[in-house]
Amino acid sequence: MLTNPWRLVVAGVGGQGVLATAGFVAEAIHRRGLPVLAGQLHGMAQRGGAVTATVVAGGHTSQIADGAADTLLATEPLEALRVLSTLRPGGLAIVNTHAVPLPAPPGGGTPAPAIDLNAVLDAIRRRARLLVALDATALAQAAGSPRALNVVMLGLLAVADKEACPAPAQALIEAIATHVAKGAIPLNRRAFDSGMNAARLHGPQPP
Amino acid sequence: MNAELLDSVGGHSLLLLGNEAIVRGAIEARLGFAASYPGTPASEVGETLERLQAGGGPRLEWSINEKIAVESAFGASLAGVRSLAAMKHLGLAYAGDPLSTIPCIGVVGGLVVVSAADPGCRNSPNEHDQRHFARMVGMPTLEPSSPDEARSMARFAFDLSEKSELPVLLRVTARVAHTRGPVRTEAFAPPRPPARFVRRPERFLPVPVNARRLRVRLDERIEIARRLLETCDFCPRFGPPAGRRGIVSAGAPAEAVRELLETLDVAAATPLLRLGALHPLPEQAVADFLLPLEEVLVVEELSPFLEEVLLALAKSRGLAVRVLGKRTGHVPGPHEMDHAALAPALRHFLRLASDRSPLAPAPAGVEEPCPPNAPAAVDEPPAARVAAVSAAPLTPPARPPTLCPGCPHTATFLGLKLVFGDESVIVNDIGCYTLGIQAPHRAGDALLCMGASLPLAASLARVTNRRTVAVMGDSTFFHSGLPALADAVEHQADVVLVVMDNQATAMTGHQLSPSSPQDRGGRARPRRSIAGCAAALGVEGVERVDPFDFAALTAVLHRARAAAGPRVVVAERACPYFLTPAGGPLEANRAGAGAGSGGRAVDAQKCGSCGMAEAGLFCGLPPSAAVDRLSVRQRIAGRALCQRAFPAGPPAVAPCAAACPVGICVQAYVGAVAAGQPEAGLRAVVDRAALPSICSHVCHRPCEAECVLAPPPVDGDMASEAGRPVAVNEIKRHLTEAAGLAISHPECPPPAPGAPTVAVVGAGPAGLAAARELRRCGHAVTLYDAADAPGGALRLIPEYRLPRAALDRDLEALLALGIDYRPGRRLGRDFSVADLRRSGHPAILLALGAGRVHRPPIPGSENPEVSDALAFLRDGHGPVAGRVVVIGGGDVAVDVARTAVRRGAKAALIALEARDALPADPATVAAAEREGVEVLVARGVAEIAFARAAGGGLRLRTAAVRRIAVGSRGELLPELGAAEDDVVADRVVLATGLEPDADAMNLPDLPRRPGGWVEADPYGRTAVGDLFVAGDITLGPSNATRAMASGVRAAFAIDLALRPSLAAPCRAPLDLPPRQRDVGACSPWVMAESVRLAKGGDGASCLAPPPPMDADQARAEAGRCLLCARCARCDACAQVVGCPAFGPRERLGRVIDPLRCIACDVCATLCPNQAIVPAEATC
Repeated sequence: MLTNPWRLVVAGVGGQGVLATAGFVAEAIHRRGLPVLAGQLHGMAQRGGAVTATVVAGGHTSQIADGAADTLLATEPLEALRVLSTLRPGGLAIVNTHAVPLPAPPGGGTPAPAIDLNAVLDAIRRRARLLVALDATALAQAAGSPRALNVVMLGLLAVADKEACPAPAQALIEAIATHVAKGAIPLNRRAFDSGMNAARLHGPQPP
Repeated sequence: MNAELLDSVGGHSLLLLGNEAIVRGAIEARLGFAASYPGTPASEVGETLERLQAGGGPRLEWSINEKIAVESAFGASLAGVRSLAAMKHLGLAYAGDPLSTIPCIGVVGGLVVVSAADPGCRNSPNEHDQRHFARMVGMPTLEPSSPDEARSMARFAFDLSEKSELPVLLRVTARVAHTRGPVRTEAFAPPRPPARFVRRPERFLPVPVNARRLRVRLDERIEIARRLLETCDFCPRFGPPAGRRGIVSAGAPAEAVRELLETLDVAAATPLLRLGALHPLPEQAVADFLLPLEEVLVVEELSPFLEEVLLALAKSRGLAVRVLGKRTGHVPGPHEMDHAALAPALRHFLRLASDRSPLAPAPAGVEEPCPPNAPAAVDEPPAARVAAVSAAPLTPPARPPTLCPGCPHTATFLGLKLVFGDESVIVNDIGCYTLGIQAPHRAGDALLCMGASLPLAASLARVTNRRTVAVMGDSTFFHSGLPALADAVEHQADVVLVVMDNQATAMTGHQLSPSSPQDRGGRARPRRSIAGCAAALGVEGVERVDPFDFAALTAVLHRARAAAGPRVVVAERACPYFLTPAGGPLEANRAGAGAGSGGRAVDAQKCGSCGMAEAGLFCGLPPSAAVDRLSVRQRIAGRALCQRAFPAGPPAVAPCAAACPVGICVQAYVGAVAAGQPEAGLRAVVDRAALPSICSHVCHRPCEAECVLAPPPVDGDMASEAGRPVAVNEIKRHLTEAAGLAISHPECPPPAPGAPTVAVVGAGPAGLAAARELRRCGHAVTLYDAADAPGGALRLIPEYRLPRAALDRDLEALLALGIDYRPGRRLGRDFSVADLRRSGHPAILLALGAGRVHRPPIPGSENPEVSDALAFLRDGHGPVAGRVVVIGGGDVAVDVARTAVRRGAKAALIALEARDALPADPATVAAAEREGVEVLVARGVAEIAFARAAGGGLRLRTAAVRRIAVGSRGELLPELGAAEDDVVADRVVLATGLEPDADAMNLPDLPRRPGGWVEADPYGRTAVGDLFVAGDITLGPSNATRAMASGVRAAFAIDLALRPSLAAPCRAPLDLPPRQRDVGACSPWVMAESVRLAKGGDGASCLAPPPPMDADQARAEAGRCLLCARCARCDACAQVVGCPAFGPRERLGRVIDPLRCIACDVCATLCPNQAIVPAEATC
């Protein structure tokens, strides 16, 4: 049923639910009976470090070579920049613009010069064909909890990538519902919907 | 999910991690028992099994360590139960002893050891290759390439194990273990027969007589395994049956190769063998694959294990195939075989040119180019071979993992570094606390493996003769710290072991440790005592402490450090991220914090709030000069003392700085010296003190009188510290005299052309300070002085108190600021105020001093042989014979007496006041007495007579003082008793108070106070608009520092008058009333030095002050300062604590991320300004 492999790279900061996000996408694809592999090389991810996860539908390995990812989903803009080379030129990038600040170098070192968000988005635009960039953390907060950030991102993915992504919105919603506590389902639904609405409103922007 | 994992019907397709799939496979094989120690990337095997127990899954035990896990599993196997042990690759090595003998004994119930390797060292210190180990001991080895294969191999492994009677190694890498993929579940039969232990001593007791026989049996077992593997389904072939070049691979790389071959569109033309059975090698199957090939490329991770096996096989079978791989440089050596590593290797091997169609053959005659991974290039990591097209111009800064916000280890590391110091050696271990090796803690000088911190530290201590620190966690302590501690006690190692007990095996996912207070379901369970274990092993003085109780933590660590022999400190506090009944740590902590339901926030008002700033007196020094780890230690050490001194919280201005007449931020320069930054310290001093060297010699040190450490100690609290104020002035003297630094005044902009010039009359301390201040404001200044050399009354201070070199250095530096200095011009004699006005000076500052000694109406004192103190001090340095009697009780009188002694005379001093009421500095009085000056107190001179007989000289008739009244001009009017003793003298010097000199008295129009002092407001403004005063002329007899301050204030007033809209804020605070000096408030350092010098020689040899402190002494003394007051922009929160919840600095302070802060209050406790306060929740 899959003519070509589809590859997604998910990036963010430890604690933002990067692995869970990849897991939901993989689950949704699996429910449709399609072959999928999700890679999550973690170990110390929770402790605020950079985290990357992959979803590969129709491939043999969960690894994604440089330039082989169709879509980049990032819960944090600097992390999007960090994995940008994985995205194929002309791919789709969905990026949360709310940055998680890097702590200043402790012990009195000179802080690294602040990275300008616009420069980051420009760099991403140069690589991607389409960019969806908005403050998904604010949407999550409005939906009820900043922890729902990754679910907002999935809503964005469902609409922005609906041509190519083999995980349709319904399958994503079901995958999420299976894995969260019953009482949290309305919040997650709201978050997912707000992601979808935001993607419809803002739409992907070509460079 | 759990139900499906346990379900015996099967037929589901589940999306599972490789590790979860292994569990499913084991369940399908009817696993009975499992044991594991957590270790990335294998932890999920145990976690999954743990989860399934509730639903009827096989029993899982989290073992104390991997050796015990293997032994436990083998024990079950001996009773016929199918067992599994799971661990990371290093864990397999740890279990090396049992695993070396189990194959000889042989298993009964199938035993599968799951061990997960970590190519690329994502979570490990090395790329240790378990395959060699398994071959070494005789364990058949299987390696899955996908989660589904992991399931089927796990299932098969138990059969293999039982049939061959060997433990089977199911070896995965992180890639497969942590990839989620579709797994097909299969049905399995009902449970196996119950466990039964049947005696087989000839097997189960491998004593030598049995061992020799079992050794032979081992070879037979391996052969059985090989035959079974020969026919298993785990070595599929892909591509054509034959070809020139083929590829052999295993595990995750095999799938990467398969994908790459398809991408390059050569899959149909390239034979590929994916080996799932690694040992014993299914030789026939492999040989069949190799037979038609000219070349075979072996693609594997870690080491060329398969390559060497295939090489040996090819050789022994006489196959002509060339075996290529890591050894030959055709495949990269280290790290994961990802696309970036493999693409060039495959292209090269398959002769695919990189810039042509992959199907086109290489041109004829092209020599095989050098393989892409020839040894010379081999140590380049795969990431470096990224194609250029992917380069982004911006590189984000690294974002490494850190200790979590609120981690108790933060507090423990802080305490360790504070107590043991930066130069101590700390050996770290494996766990969350390993992250403490990063900034700001940098608590880790060496690291090896589980439980190694203690033996390493013990050895280092032994050979370097230095007490060393080892840290390890609670789980690690039980894993392998216990034997290490027994060893340390045996050898009485000079080590402090800090067990960082966060009550869980936190790094790998909060599995239970013996120290955990509750299980995964939140039910309470008994904790095993680490302190008890240590005591039982013979460690003395074992202590437990909560790391968040800083005072207790540092006290405990101090004791441990001071002791000899091994000591154990257990720093206990549960990891806040471990499951709590209320939910996550954020909610639990915040719920308990009351108003702080939004975590913590920095109060910008208090953060950047040095009170001096509010008063416009901010020193402007960068924050790091005053704050570092040292200051945090000082706060902790002096907390109780400061709390008693300032119950309302730290003052805005430190008491020492508040007492300084010229407004030097004492805390800044003492802190700078303590932090090893003398330049910053001197800058703070020079910013306010125009004559810094002079201050450091003659200042009356009100700062020391106000120091929090000045009062005598209260019982039990910092007993050794209180009672000795910080020797602030000596630290300043170190900066001006011994630090080798030049005095660099603040910038004084050149005056605007045509700008009017301010006249300053009097180059004493007040006039000089005013001149500098005016220059700093950009005014032109003309400085007139009556004497030929500048300094005014400063020149009268004796050399032994103020060396000429210091005096001249300060004066030279100051006069170089572009001041038009005109010496030898006396107001009244050479020019008048009217002259100055006519010259166009818009403002005139009269800093005329107190230039005359008041002569009391003592009969006989008008005789010219009775001289006055100023004349005596001014007049010379030649020898003085005989006996000099000084009348007076102030500092000037003492100066005269001590000067006389140094000039060869005997001296006596007669003062009206009682001993404890003498105006003179008691330290100088004591010094005078040590030098032989006779001090007669509470006596007045009734008459000075000139005795013609008995060798000439003068006789003073003295009497006891009954009462002292004060006259209308402030003069002393003593009421004397009957004249009693006579004192003989060759010279009499009056030092009976100062008053303005005659010319100063003749200045027109200025209102005066009794005594002749000019009336003025605190800023030196007089009733006459363009006349200002500063120094003694308006203060009355005071001292150099107050005079300088008064000059600065007057300069401010002048600046304000001349440029009302542009005036800079006043840099000297308003004059404080003179304080009583406590006897105990004198610098004990100087006292000690003076005594030492006085004892060394005769009194007259003390011609100079004792030498200043050297850098070490200054730094040590400055280290005693408690930094009482709030300090601006100190940044201790982020710089010293290093909590990742702190974001970048904003205008006046740091921002705390409300999503990450868990309100642990470590930062709040340490903030010197108490500026971290509870925050409201925002959502």
